[in-house]
Amino acid sequence: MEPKLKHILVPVEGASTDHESVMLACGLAKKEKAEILLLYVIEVRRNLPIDAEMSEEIERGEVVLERVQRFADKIGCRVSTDLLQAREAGAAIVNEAVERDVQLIVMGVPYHEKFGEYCVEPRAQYVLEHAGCRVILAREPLPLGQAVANGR
Amino acid sequence: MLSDSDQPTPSEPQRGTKNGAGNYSSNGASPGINGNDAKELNLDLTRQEKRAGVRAGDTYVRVVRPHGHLFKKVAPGVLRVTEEAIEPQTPLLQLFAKVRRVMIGEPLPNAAEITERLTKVKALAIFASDAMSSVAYATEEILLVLTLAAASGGLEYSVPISMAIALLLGTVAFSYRQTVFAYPSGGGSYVVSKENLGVMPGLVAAAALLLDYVLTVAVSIAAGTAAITSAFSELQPYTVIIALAFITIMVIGNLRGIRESGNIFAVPTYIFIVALCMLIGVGVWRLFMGLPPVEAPAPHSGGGEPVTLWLLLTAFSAGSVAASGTEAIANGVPAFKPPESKNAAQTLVVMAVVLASFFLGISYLAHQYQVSPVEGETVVSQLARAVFGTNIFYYIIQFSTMLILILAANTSFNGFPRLAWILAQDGYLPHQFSHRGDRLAFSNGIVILGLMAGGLIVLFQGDTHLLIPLYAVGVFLAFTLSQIGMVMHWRKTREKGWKQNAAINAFGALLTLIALTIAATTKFTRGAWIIIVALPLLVGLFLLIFRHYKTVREQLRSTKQKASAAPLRQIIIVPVADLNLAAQRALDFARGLEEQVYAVHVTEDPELAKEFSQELYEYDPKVKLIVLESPFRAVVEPILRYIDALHQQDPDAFVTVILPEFLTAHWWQRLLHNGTAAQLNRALKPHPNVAVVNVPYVLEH
Repeated sequence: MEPKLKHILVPVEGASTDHESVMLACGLAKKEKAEILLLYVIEVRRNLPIDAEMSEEIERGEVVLERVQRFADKIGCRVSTDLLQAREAGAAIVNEAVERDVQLIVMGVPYHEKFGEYCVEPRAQYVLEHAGCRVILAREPLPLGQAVANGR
Repeated sequence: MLSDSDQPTPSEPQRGTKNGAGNYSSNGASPGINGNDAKELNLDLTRQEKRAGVRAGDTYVRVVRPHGHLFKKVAPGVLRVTEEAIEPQTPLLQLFAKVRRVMIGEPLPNAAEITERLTKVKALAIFASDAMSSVAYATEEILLVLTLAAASGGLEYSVPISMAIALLLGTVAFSYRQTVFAYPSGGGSYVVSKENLGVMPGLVAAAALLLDYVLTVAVSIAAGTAAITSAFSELQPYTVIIALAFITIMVIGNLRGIRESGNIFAVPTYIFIVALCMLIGVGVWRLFMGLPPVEAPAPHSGGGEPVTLWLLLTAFSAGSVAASGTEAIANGVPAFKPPESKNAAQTLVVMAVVLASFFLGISYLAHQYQVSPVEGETVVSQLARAVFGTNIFYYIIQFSTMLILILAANTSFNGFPRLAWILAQDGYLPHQFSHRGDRLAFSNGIVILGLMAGGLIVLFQGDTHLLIPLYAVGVFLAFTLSQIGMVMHWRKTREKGWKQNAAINAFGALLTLIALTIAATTKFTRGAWIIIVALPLLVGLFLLIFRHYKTVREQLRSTKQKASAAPLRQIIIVPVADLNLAAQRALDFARGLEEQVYAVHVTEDPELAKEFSQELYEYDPKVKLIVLESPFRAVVEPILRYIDALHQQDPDAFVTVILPEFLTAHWWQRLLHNGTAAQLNRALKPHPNVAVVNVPYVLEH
């Protein structure tokens, strides 16, 4: 039997995809009366301790979370926020999903090409490979020129 | 997943590095004043928790912000207060806040200031409504004077006089256009006069404008109300109430913020513009087509006075009210979207062109259709009947005229608070005027303007005829000073084309001076004297306020660069009536501040005092007690006198009186107690070397 949807994790990073993923998560959360947790991960360089004080990055994270939270408020969705420091964002998302008993991760991903081919960015790739719960990826639409070039 | 027991403990912040508040942050303890272990606090209210991931060695850190909903960290040592943090705590205040939000909207942060700026379209509606409204009565004011010489052909001069006024309007607008670029932070006549002519002329201009803004609200609201009560005569007994209701609507609308008030009040202004375009357009078309008036205006009835220069000048002065309100844009430049000066200047030009066209159009049509003032019907109404007849278009013109007359007050609701803000910044008005409310509007200025205009309405029972003579003297005084100020400005700066600009301003100054002299002379006995008396009084008040702030500044100016190395010596006194939990808490608190604590006990019964003394000794033998036997049953005065006497022994020390105070669970329970702590607090407040600390003890029931 499917576990009841109680907690949805939405990683945000100040990208254009944030609003789309929050909107998607809000739609699902309203239906299932689930709680949404917005997550911002600061990636700490290897030459710094993991708990180094990263004032500027924390400030940026706060700004991003506040902005997305305000957007969620506007579409009638109450969310809580979380700020992490980790070596890799993907691993931190998976770990936090376990810690917070999350049943669904909704991630926005940008359109990303490598060697002329579309590829999923590493953060999303990691979450897809390692998350124990369901994962929904919301890829940003292609730029118009790109869509035409791809024959779409 | 780790169990609670084997999860890593919250990590200690960076050792040896400064935390956000610039303090060395650690959860360790450091010795306090009296050897107590004082915790060093984490001022930026965040802490880090190390968490173990699913995989071995997969550690990450959670930045915990338990108060993140109240304070957001924006930089090291800087927290930004959130909207939630300003929510009131008690149910009554919460209810009040809810009502306020329904009335004036959600609070806006400072960052929203730029989004509150006005587009040119809204700014024209907000800042031009006063000037536009004068179209409704300026022509009539000229004709009223010229009618005295109707039989001698006096009415023939209405169009030339209107053209002279349009020229005056153009000159004033041109002058303010220069001001907008020269003084982009706003201020209009006050700033221009103060900077170029000196403080006194500046203050005179400011006083004149402030008075005029108040009168504009009172006159326009009274005029709008009169239009309604004329249409529905059964409402006549409620004139004052209706006028006050309009002022209240204006106040609330403006407290909602400039952008929103623009949204609310823009529509009627544009309806009026369209209606007047229709009236003038169709009127002129009918003239060119040689069509007769749909409804012929009443025939001229007037006196046979000769046409003299004085009569013409009086008519010019009466019609010059059309120029009032022109300065509002120059005052409100910062309210425009960037580029502020350019947008303000363009709006000013549009306003001047529209205003001059309407004014000239109405005067021309009135002349051509041979409309003259009659009892019970305005010139615009007669013109509308002549052009359209009594049909839907007539009613649209009448209705929009009524709305614009009321909305003229809105210009003042933007001008007055802004000018008051500038004056408050300079220290000539109370600092409360520089306070911005929830919606970034200058709330205190808006409310005070509403109250003052409401007071005038009540005083004059909403009678426009009694209020109008007070009007326009101030505005021409401000115009004249501003124009002379601009002449001085050009002389000082000597920018390219300065001679030409100075000549235009000098010409404007001459015209406005003539209008001022005539207005002051002709209206003096009809009420203008009130303004002439009020002006110096207001300037005197400005100077008094300025002197107070200056004295306070001088008294508070510190010459010390660094804090004294030795802490201030304190005498700690705890007045205690009974050794209950509240008193014990206060004594414990006092011991935390200083080793030696003096307890003062006032009694009427020496035997009970002995018992108390024993009790206190058992509780804390280090506390020194003095018992004041009070055979006259007084409590507060003996304590005050004793504190004074004790202080005389060591006058350099600072006395700290610690007052035990219990807080009742309900407000009505407070009435059952004698409130000695509150009495002592009040009595000790004026003492210069005494600090009072209330140590609360909250009762549960």
